[in-house]
Amino acid sequence: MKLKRFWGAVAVLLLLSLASVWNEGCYRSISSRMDACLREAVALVREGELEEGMRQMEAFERQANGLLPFLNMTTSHHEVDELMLVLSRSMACLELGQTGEFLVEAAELLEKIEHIDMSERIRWDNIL
Amino acid sequence: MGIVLIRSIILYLAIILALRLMGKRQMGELQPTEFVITLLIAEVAAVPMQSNEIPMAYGLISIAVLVSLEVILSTVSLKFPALNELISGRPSIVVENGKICQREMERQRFTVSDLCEELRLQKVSRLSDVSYAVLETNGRLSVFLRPQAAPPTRGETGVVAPDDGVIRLAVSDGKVNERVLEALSMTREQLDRMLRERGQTVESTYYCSIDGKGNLVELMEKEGSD
Repeated sequence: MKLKRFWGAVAVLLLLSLASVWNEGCYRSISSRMDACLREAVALVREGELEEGMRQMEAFERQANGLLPFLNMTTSHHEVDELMLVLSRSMACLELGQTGEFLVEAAELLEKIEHIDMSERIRWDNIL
Repeated sequence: MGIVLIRSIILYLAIILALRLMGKRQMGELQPTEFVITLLIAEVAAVPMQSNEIPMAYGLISIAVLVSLEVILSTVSLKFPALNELISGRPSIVVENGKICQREMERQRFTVSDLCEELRLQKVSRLSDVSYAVLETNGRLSVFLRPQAAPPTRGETGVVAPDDGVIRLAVSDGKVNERVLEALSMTREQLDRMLRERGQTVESTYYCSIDGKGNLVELMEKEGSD
């Protein structure tokens, strides 16, 4: 019985280690996808194409909402809530035609996406 | 509020499972590492229980890791006694032939008051009655009395005591313990007959114990069962 528990414990640790590596990979992938989508929206707004930019932001919002369950399960809710708050603000700016403010909010959004990704990376500065 | 409620239930069950997997049932039997793990598990589980901000996975993963590490370490310690000694320490003789081993007491930071308290708990009033007192790795004191101070055994007094084996609880609050019947090689019919002879049934029985030879030892009826 003891050896069964031993190997069971080893299996659990291995599984959790693999899951954490997979989790990190997921965050990288999520981050790069969201980043790419958002940067495209920013580029469109910068070029003056507000309607296209709005559509791109809506696509980004759908993407973010789809990822919410996973994000809420694996990272701090506070960070996720802040991300969604900034997203709402940036959408509101774009709807009101405030492109300057939108770009500022989008920059903050990009930073938050990167922060969520970086804080999930298995690195010494995160561990310590 | 519902979230806190559900999380509390899940984490509570996770803690119970974790402690069962560790294989100890009483706090008093825990080794130092197991005691630490038990405290850690409680602390780790309390955080996501109280705060919705923190994903529940954080608590469950931490519990799983702590329990796994404890199981691995304890299993490896069995194979390597030196490691076991490093982690859990070794028992220390603090009283030998009625004399306190002062150096060992100092090493263990075990005061004379602590020693006297432990002796009193074991109904020992005189140090001179003690042959050996061993401070175990789980913090308990094992006391071995000198032959002249120890209570006489039945064998020493010449009293022939029947060996009726282990007394087991066969019926508890109207329910039969099937494992006990199996251990006693007794059938349900035999139990029913035994109870019927005393005017009882399983359902009306609150407490029924049977010895290793299949004899009924004690029987208590449920209140308000007639």
